[in-house]
Amino acid sequence: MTGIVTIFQYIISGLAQGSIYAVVAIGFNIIYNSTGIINFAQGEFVVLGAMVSITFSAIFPLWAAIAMGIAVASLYGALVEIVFVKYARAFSPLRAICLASIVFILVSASGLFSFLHPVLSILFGLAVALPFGAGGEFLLLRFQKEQNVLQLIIITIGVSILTRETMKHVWGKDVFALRYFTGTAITTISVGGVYISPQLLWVLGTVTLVVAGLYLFYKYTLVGKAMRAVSLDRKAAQLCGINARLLVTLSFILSAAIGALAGAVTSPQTSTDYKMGSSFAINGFTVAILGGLGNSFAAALAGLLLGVLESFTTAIVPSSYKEVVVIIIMLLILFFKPSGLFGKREERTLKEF
Amino acid sequence: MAARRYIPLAIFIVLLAVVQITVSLAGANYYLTQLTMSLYYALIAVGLCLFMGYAGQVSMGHAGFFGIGAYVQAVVTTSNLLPFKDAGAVRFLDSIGFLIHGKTTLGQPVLYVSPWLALLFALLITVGIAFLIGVPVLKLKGHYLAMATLGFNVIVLTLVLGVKPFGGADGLSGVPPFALVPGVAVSGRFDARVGNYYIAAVLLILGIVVAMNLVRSRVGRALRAIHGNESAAGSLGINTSRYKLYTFVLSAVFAALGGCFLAHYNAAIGPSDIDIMKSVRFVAIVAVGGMDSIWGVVYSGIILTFISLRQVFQSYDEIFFALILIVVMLFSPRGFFRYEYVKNALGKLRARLRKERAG
Amino acid sequence: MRRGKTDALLSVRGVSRRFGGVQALEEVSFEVRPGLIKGIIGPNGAGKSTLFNLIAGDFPPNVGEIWFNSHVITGLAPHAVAALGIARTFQTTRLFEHMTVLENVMVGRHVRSRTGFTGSILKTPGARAEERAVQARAGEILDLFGLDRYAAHSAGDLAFGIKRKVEFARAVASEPALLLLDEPAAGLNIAETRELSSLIATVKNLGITVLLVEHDMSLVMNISDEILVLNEGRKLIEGAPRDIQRNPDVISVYLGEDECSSSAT
Repeated sequence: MTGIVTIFQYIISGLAQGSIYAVVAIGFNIIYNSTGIINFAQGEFVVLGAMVSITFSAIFPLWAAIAMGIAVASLYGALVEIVFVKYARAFSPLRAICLASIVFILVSASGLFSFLHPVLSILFGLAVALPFGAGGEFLLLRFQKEQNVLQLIIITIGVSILTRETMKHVWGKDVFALRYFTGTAITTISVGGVYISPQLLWVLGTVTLVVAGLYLFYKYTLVGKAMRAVSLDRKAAQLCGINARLLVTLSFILSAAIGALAGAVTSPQTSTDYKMGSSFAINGFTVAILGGLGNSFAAALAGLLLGVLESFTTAIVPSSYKEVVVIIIMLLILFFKPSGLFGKREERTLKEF
Repeated sequence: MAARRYIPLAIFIVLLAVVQITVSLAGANYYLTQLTMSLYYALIAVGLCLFMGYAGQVSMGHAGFFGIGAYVQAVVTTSNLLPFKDAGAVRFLDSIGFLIHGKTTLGQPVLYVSPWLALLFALLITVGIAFLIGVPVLKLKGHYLAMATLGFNVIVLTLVLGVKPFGGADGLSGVPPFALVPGVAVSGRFDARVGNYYIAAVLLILGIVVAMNLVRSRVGRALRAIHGNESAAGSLGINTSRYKLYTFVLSAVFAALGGCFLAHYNAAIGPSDIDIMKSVRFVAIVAVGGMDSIWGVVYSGIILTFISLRQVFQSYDEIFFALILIVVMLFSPRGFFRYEYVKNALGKLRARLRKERAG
Repeated sequence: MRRGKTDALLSVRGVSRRFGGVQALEEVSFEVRPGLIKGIIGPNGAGKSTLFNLIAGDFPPNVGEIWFNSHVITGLAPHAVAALGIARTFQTTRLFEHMTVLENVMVGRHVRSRTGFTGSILKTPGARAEERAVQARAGEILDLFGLDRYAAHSAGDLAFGIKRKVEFARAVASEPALLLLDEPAAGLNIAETRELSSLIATVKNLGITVLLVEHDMSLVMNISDEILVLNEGRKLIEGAPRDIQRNPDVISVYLGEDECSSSAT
């Protein structure tokens, strides 16, 4: 009897861990479908959302803090896309503002003017950021080359490091956690002899809502349909009058938003530190290809599967090798079934660049 | 005509000497320590340049190969065989001169494997692992290849952290000097700084010559053909997977070689030297140098590593490398330090001078 | 196994290939005798390109065998097929854009040279001698194609017609026994097409057997010794150009069967 209970315990903690992988993988898929690139900074979106939520939760009610986390991460996602991914040949004030904000974030994170009064330091930061934004926009306009997919991937790797290191300067190397949504760390609900934390229900519920929401969004809204059209055939979609550029920005916003939400919901149990993003990225990518790159609903299943699998391996191998196990699974899929468990072989060859 | 190829090499050698003499005359020999390390890192970048710039593939895991070289070298040369000195195999190795009787810093006698033998062993292991990894991984392209190589790097790092003989989070220290010939040893001793600078320089130059010969040959042409259009290269009889694999292995050997020498030079190796950030850094160096420009990569490797080792950017080092990677990709994906850019600029200058003289 | 000894250079035996639900080729058999030019024609979607890609080893047939010079080449990788002496051009030119024209043609000499990694790195005397020979031979080929003045040009900067010619030269540089030309005249103007047909004749005189897929009827009819007509993945007919031109089946395929039958009623 206790054996079965233990197994359930493993399954349940696996489901909790798997949920976040699923959401990261869905984030990968949303951007992959609209651009054909893998956004290596996806894990950082998750961490950013959690960190911002944690900071604001000290002052604001939980729901408001999480909403702010999602908002900041979404804005940041848009920022990244507009500055680093978009290729525009016309002067774009929006891009200049985004560039200026990135410089502002960097200046604030560096604490360059921290010896001044906060208001003054913000003013000085702006004074540095605005010319840089304008100058950067001029340079981009004048000298930016159109990137191929591989170059865009390398850019997202750069963005991921930039984000992670900036977060290190803002929040330091400490481990944080958001407070439990219901009760505390030791509150449990007993379900047939298995003790689970109410937070787990929050996590599973959120992931279910995200998946269902995305399904409805893609199926029934005009924007969602347009995004699907772009992922199937970009040129044809543009000929039909769909603004593909805007949808790419939107896909970054969407994927950052759901990433941030997942980061916030799982933070109470798994805690958050600035450097977690890369392991989210590796696990999320594994899940994305396990389900078949581009297929968000398969990714949700694959995420839960990987989470449970990982949970059981910790029973056999030391938990420090957890990541190795995931990577080996990833390599095995890449070598033997690159179309994923739920994908068809021919689909992948269509999407390959 | 053939001699013109060696002009950049001659310039480079003169520059190396000028830098050393200037630094020594200025009484700032401590700069040589970082310069020497930069030369070793440039060697690794040259190897990666063959794989990325010429064969047109991507590796986010070269710090893994660097680590395999450095750690094998360090483990083998720091294992004291004195307790086993009566074992048959140990006695045999000793009798053919493959073991070294030395003293620790505390003066205790130790018996360890000759660094030459260790080097051979480290490189063989690297070649073996590169083959094993390369065969399946190189079937992948683009982001799949990037992720798979990144995964390889994480595996190496995790194993190093988890396996006892590799020293865990502390790494390995006390790596003995590597006597290349009697009197010339790779070590970080203060009085051997100048000599070690030139050891690194010679190794780097050898690496450059190997790389240059390779890219200006039938093999180099085949690699650029694969980069240009893989299916067309295949249709002309180029065994694309084999060429990619061999280049991958060769570039892994460059990385491991750098690791082996640096382990002796620093007398230590730790896990922070081989995390994925270091792999990203190698890619950034190659990108700045111009992917398929060996000389560009040599200079970018030396300059960027030196700047980083001097801690010019303090804790913003990684931010600097990330920004530089992004900026290169946005503005000049073919790199900044390209020989042809210099040549074009000189040509334009010459044309303008001529015009002025005429007009 | 059927191992009929024939005097054919290339022998395609009962080859079928399916893509998902589409049967691209069905039970196609034919032979190419050495020293001749054989044309393959057929309406769009007849399976011509699939047939080429099967021979070149891009993917294997589902059923059937392809023999070349008494070797079975079905299932071989493209580079292995090329090493046996089959060179090809592509429907859309695939040059090495960042390399010069001379270098492109030198890559064509790959199968005719052997220096490996060690020889290249050590720059052995043998490797140097071979490199000189490769360069000299590539230069000769450029002369033959009238491309010598483009030798140092970057292949990516060339005009479309010249690119086509460079790709042709690159394939010929490997001195193949069989040359597959995939719509070599597509996109060329009349003067360029005329030049192409004389180049194909020159190549034939070098002793290279040519198999070509082409839509330009006058070109195919003029230079081919034999013609194979494909329709909807099946072999329709095979024969001399004169006979093909008169064949009522071919005419109906090209003019459209429906039209013939509807005008008859």
